[in-house]
Amino acid sequence: MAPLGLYALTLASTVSIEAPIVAAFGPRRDALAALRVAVCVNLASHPPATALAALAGADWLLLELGVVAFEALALREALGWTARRAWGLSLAANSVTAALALLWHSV
Amino acid sequence: MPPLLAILLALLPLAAPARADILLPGHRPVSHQLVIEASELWTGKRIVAFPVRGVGGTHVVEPGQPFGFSSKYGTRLYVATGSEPVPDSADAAWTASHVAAAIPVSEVSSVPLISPLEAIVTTLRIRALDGARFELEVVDESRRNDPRLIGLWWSVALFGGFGMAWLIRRRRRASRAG
Repeated sequence: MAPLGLYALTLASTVSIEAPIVAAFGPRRDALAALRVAVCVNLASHPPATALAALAGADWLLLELGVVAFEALALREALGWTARRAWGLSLAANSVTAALALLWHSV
Repeated sequence: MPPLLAILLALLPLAAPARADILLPGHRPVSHQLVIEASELWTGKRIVAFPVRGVGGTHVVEPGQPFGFSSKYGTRLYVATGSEPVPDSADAAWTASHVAAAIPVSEVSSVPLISPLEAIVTTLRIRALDGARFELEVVDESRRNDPRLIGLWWSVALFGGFGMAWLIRRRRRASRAG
């Protein structure tokens, strides 16, 4: 598969996993708004993170922490969540996709 | 902290090869070629790259013409006179009897699967070339990326960024109104 198709696949996987996690584990009244925000946040963060990893060889852990921070701040700003909730859900969602990437890599 | 989250966090440092979020692991080959600029020092001589096909194979380099090399198999550049025949594959006696230069750049033979990088051309300049010394230096490196992938990155990031900004603005307005 060409890099373009592979990238689309990784982006779709990330969004389709992380956004529902954020929506499902946030307050029920915010579920739809959280889903929208999480989709936008992932669309905004995934391409730069990928570019930094693929082109600049950026350190994975730093990159992942940057993504978690960016997404947490965005969730907090867009949904009015507490910092604890925003950081917790951002960390949880990104941990799941990172763990899946690890599993994928080890297969 | 929930146990599942703790386990996932503990796994995080092990995921280094997987890179950010879900990125498909693995690498694909990429073309990395060299070009040697024309030079007066080159006149009357030939530059021969060896090995260029696995552990064997020679290639007579032409000024300004790209050619392949391998860091894995240790391609070096040899100076031959303009008239002597160049063997298809050099042996130890041939390589020992010719002035040689190491290639001053490491080959990039593979990139991550989702890298937009398609090809690299490194341009070299002859710094010294005589009967005893042959030295090269890197003067330029051009990298060709897949413009469609770069374009997709920009489009997706802008779309997400604008969407996020719109949602943040909407919430702030609602907060002020409420």
